[in-house]
Amino acid sequence: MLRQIIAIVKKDLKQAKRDPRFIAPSLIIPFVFLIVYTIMWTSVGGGESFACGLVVQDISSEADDMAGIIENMVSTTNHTWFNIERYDLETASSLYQNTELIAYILIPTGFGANISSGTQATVTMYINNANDDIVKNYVHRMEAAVLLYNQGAVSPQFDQSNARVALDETLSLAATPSNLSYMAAVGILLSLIACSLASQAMLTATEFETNAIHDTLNSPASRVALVIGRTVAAIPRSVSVLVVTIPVIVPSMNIFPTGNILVLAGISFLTILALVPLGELIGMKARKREQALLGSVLFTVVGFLAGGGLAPIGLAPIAFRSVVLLIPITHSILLWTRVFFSDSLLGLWPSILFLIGTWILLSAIVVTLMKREVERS
Amino acid sequence: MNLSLRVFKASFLKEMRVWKRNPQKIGLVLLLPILFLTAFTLLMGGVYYGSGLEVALVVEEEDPGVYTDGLIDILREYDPIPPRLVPIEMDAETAQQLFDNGEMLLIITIPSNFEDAIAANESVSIHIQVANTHEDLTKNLRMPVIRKLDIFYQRFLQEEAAVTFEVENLRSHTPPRLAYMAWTISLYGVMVGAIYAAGSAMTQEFEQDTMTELTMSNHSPYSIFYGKMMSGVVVSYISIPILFLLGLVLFSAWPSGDFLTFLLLTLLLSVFCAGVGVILGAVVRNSVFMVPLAALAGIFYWIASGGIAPLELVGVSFGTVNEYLPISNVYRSVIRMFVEGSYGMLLIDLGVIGFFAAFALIFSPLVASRAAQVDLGQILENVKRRRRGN
Repeated sequence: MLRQIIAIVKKDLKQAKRDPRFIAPSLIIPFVFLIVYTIMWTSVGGGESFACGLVVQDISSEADDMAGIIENMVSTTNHTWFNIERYDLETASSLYQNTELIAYILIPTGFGANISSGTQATVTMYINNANDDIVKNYVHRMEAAVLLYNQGAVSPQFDQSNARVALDETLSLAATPSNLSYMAAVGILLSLIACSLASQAMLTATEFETNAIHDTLNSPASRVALVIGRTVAAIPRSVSVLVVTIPVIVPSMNIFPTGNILVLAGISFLTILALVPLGELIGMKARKREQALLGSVLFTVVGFLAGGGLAPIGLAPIAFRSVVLLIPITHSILLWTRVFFSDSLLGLWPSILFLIGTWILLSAIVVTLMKREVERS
Repeated sequence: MNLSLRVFKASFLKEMRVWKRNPQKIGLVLLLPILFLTAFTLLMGGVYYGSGLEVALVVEEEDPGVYTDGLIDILREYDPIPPRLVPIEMDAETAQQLFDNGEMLLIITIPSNFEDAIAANESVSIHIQVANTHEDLTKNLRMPVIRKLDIFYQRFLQEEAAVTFEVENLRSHTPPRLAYMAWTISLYGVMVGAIYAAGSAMTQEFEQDTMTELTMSNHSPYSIFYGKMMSGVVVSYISIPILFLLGLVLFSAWPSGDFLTFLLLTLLLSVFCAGVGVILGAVVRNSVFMVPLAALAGIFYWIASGGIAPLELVGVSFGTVNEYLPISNVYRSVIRMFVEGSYGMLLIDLGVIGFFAAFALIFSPLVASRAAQVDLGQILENVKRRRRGN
């Protein structure tokens, strides 16, 4: 059996060398995601700062303090929360009405006098409510600025020690990974996912297109040996894409793993094991390279987006979370991000067991389908 | 350029029959944008919909009074601004265990001296522990707590709440974000469908070795290519009704504006994309490359043109870059029309996309015809051979 497996591995690797087109989607998908996200997040100052106008009509120390908070308060990643530009009321209002300015804050005349006389002062925020996400982000930031003022935590110290109720925060990681760092770290895994799925799907579909599949299935090699051999061949083939993505992404995005690199390698190995039989299934179902590639790209992109590729799935509703947790890509991303950004190995086992289970189950399905294919032919 | 309406019609009908014979292929064109929306709904649904985000609440205060109960009530009460918190009261040890295993992402702790400290006019802190594995996630976990604390100040510590704020929205209705995305994904569906369908119609001729027969026949190749282009235009509309219906059923939102304008804008976009697809198909000659090219061109434009969020949000620089991306005008006008019901830039945007569509109509078949005669892969192979020979 070992000899048969070695022969199948050699055959598959030769075929991959002869037709290396599977590399294209494996590189295009992560790099397009990264380029677009780099442009987007860089222009918004790390994903935390939102463009906003500020109109200060009042000349008082209270108004200065309020404006100072709005202009300088920072997020957990040290980006300012508002990307503020000051305007006079007429300009801000005109830009806002023309939807060229998405929001502006007005500190009105009498703001300081109201506070001095013990009357509550009101700041007004004008928002272009194009969708509820915009409203949420602007209201939350404004709420934070008002709370800081009421706590007496003004810029630049933002010292809450004299506040009646202060907020004391502990973060689980020493530094919060920025949206871009997260995307870059997951981008490496994405290339591996795309390569594992697309290469196997295309290889199987090519065999169907050229009718070579029947020679393979009718060969003396057992079907279990076939599946094992193809999975083993997929490991170097899938890892080959990392030779390009790691040297490009790691230095250019300045991201280095905090966790153990050997554990990350293990997660990559498990990801390949779980996804290769899935690629095989896509290839067997599609039977044409074009459709196999379309299917694997579709599965990769959708699985990546739903499985926490852009942001962790922690905020998704429990019912939805239980659906996306049926996709192996979700578990790969969970494991990868946990180890990449933290040196803790807690909570890894459920996902590890899921990936191993997926590999065994899908391999068994592939063996059964191969048997049916032989019977049909 | 020799054109024949009869050949165009025959080519178009043949391509439509090919699509009918390949339900798997058409299913994938249909599924791509729908799954795209599904993925975002799954990912972001928790912030905007559902019962809310479960967080651990540890109350160390042994003798809760008006302030402690007041804060707990505020934390539990419905909030129109998402994400909504659903605090689950538990002891500190259980909360910490769930947090360490990644099952809870936020612990809010009300300390033991909370009630007395506030009553005695002393300073006290509530403690939050946040799983800061991602910037946006961290923001969405922390911000509702900050908001609730501000509400606590406004309600229970009025003497401290020197400042409050009010919000004025530009328009009376705020569309849900995921419905907004369903509408913009319809443009993504048009782009991907047109590029892929027209490109695939070309590559199949190369793969079945029928391209030479087509171009050498005494029928006009331009009419044949127009037929392929138009089949791409028809196929590109396949997912639109489903996306709008999903927006209505899932998020109870229907776009503003009129559909004739939407159809006009997308028709021009689709013609341009089908033109690009025909050229790409003639160049790459292999359907394998059409899939990632179409899907990724579509996703690039969707993100860069404001499909996720309006461009005004991201500041001047990104908006400026976007100004120089051709055809992003369609996104601008559709978003304005759907969200605001306004047509301020429509004429300019129609002019730009109209120019590109006319350009594609005139030149795509010409360029595709020339490209079909040049086998780029063979040229590269010859160059390689020559190098090896040297």
